[in-house]
Amino acid sequence: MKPMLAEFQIFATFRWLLAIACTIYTVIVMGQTLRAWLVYFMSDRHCKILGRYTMTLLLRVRLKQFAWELTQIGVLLGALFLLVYAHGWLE
Amino acid sequence: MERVKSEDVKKTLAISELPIDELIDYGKQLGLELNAKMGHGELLRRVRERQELLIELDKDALLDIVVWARRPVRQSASKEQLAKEIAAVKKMDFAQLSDRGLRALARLRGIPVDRMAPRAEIEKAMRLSEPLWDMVRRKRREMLGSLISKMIDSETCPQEGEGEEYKFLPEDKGVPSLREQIAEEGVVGGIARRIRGAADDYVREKLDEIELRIDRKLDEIDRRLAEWRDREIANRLKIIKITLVASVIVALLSLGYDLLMKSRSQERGALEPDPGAGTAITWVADRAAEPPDQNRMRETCTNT
Repeated sequence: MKPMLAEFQIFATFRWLLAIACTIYTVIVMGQTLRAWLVYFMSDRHCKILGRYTMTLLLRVRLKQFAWELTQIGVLLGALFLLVYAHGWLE
Repeated sequence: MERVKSEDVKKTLAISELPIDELIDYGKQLGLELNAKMGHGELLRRVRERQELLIELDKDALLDIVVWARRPVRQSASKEQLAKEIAAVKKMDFAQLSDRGLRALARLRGIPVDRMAPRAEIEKAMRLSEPLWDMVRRKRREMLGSLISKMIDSETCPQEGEGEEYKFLPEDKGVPSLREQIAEEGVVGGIARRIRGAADDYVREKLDEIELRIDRKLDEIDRRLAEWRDREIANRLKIIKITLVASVIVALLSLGYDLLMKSRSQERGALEPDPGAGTAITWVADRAAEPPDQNRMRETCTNT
């Protein structure tokens, strides 16, 4: 019991619990939204056509025009992973 | 003459009644660079200017341009049809273009031309007015064209200037005369056929017009939906970026805090309790890990 108490870190536990809760919440909400759209697009002949058109519209996205934004996101993600790694290295 | 005038007035009225997207489309077909930000009045002014220019220009000069660019048209084509064909011409090699054709082309491309200006000066002005990206694209295509033609049909391909002489498209014969129709099918049959033909032509023309309008509208809807999609994606990316920036800031603060705590604990010694929340837990744990005798002694002291 004593060594367990000695190893118990409240902030780390809170962080893990928060990460797990957020992940589960995101997955559930995203799943619900996707399911709702799928049901809508399969409900009717016209909605099916609409669904195919939406798919075409999405496939026609030119990622080139978002290149700058995507690069920024990539750099920020890299910085974040580096900082998390630095935390581990410090401990 | 009166009929022509009334047709012109009708056309002008029809253009002024066009919605902005169709007006832009019509102007672009005539070789104008237009956009929706210009406003209806400005768009209308530019389209009318172009129509006035077409009235001023000599039809033979326009035909010269079409022949030089080897665009397929009928010799009887109207000036507007010729202008639409010429708008698609990006060629910049004016060697085989007549003087009147060169002047007309310069005016259609929006370059002010002096009547007495020499040919070389007009050519230079036209080359200078060509947008940079158009020039780059043209050069790239020229290079690719020469490369591919050398690779594929170096022997069969005719050299420049050696091509077949230009021929206009054959003229539409049109409908046979009423006399011929009556001679062929009798009075009633000939007249009925004539009327039916006219009605069919009218309906066909109107249906084509309607189809064209529907196509344009569908294109416009598609374009707007694509714009909306792009806006939505940009917004989502912005939200992700803001979240990431916030995460990086928090991670930086956390790292700084850890560094500070570590340096402080190194200064004070590992066993001394810190006022910080994180180290308080360590302190409690250390106390719990002490031998039971020491704990008991401390409790006796506090009781007394």
